[in-house]
Amino acid sequence: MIVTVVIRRGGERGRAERVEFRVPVSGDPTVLDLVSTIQRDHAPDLGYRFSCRVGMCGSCAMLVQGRPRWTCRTRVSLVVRRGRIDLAPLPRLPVVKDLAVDMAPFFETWTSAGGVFRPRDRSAQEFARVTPGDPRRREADAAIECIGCAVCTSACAMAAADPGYAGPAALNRVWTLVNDERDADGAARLAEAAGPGGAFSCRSHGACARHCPKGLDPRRSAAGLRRAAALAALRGRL
Amino acid sequence: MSPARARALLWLARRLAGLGLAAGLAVHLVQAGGGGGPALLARLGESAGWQAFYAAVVGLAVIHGGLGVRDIWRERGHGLAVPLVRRRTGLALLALVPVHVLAALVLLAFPALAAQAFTLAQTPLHRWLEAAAVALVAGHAFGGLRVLALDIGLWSRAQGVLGWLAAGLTAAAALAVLV
Repeated sequence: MIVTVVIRRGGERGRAERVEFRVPVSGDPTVLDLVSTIQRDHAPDLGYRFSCRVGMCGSCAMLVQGRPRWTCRTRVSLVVRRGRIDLAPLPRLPVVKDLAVDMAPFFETWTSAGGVFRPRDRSAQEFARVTPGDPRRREADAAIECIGCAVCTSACAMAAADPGYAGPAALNRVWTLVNDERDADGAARLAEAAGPGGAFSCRSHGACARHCPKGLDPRRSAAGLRRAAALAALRGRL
Repeated sequence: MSPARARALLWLARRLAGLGLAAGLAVHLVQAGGGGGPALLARLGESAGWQAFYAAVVGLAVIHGGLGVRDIWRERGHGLAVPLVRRRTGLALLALVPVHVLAALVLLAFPALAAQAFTLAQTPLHRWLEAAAVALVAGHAFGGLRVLALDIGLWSRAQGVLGWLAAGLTAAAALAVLV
């Protein structure tokens, strides 16, 4: 089978153009395989990013047929339409080159929303003991497998509409830390999460949960943050 | 008070007022459906308890609607660009509810006018308008309850199903007016 792959090429400042490649496909490769084939056989200067190829590192996400996806685990057969696949870099992030974006602004939102671990005891020698059944641990467990691929934030309508919104990935990260036994200052973290562009800006569309390749539910994490912030506010701890 | 605390408390106030309104609305619709407008107005005119109930509902509506408008205003330019059934129905209710409350007050004050108005309002068009109003308020309420479930940590994964359930219940409420 021949698949026509249309790639949005160009850097942030240069003029972007759509370039078409006709790629012979055998078996059922992934979209990332397809892009690697294009770079190897057709366009050695094609810019894209990947690392683990097995759905762990979160570096290969791009827009596939207009929808954000992790390409290393997306089969061509799942997305090809009438023999054609459109590829573009993730939206709202600076394009480094072709399909590779600069992820720095994405991770900066994690910091501004309070998604950075601050240990309670910096000199701790022992592991913190947290039982598997602990409710807070279960909350953290449900959200912890994020690989930072930015698929959810790319899919989020609020993140698209409001540049000041931290986005689902950042809020999901904050929720894991709020529930982290070892965390130093939950109240300050909640105050950051309840700040402008934080959990109260989430409108619960759920595009994040529908798109997350790891099956996480950042919408639930944002709701947890709102709940925790409201309880803290009632107790005068916010 | 810190801005974060104020934001959290105002959010809580809007959600709790919404929950109270949902309960109040259920009582009101059952009341209105039971004996119709004339019986409801008659009870309201005679009973201090019902007057207190409706005063509380109006108070909750002012809190809920006021905070909702505040949010929409602060997010103007991008908030409403996002298609949100709750916001659109909420804005429509901002127009409908004051007219509804004012009309009820006028009819309470002038019983003779009420008798005339209820006689005139027996047309099919009036019935359709009534169904549309019920659909609007029920859609807003059921949509709000769906989000409230998410906010208290329930059925996050089932939000899609709950959305369809809300749409079905809204349609059923409107149909109940028509048949």
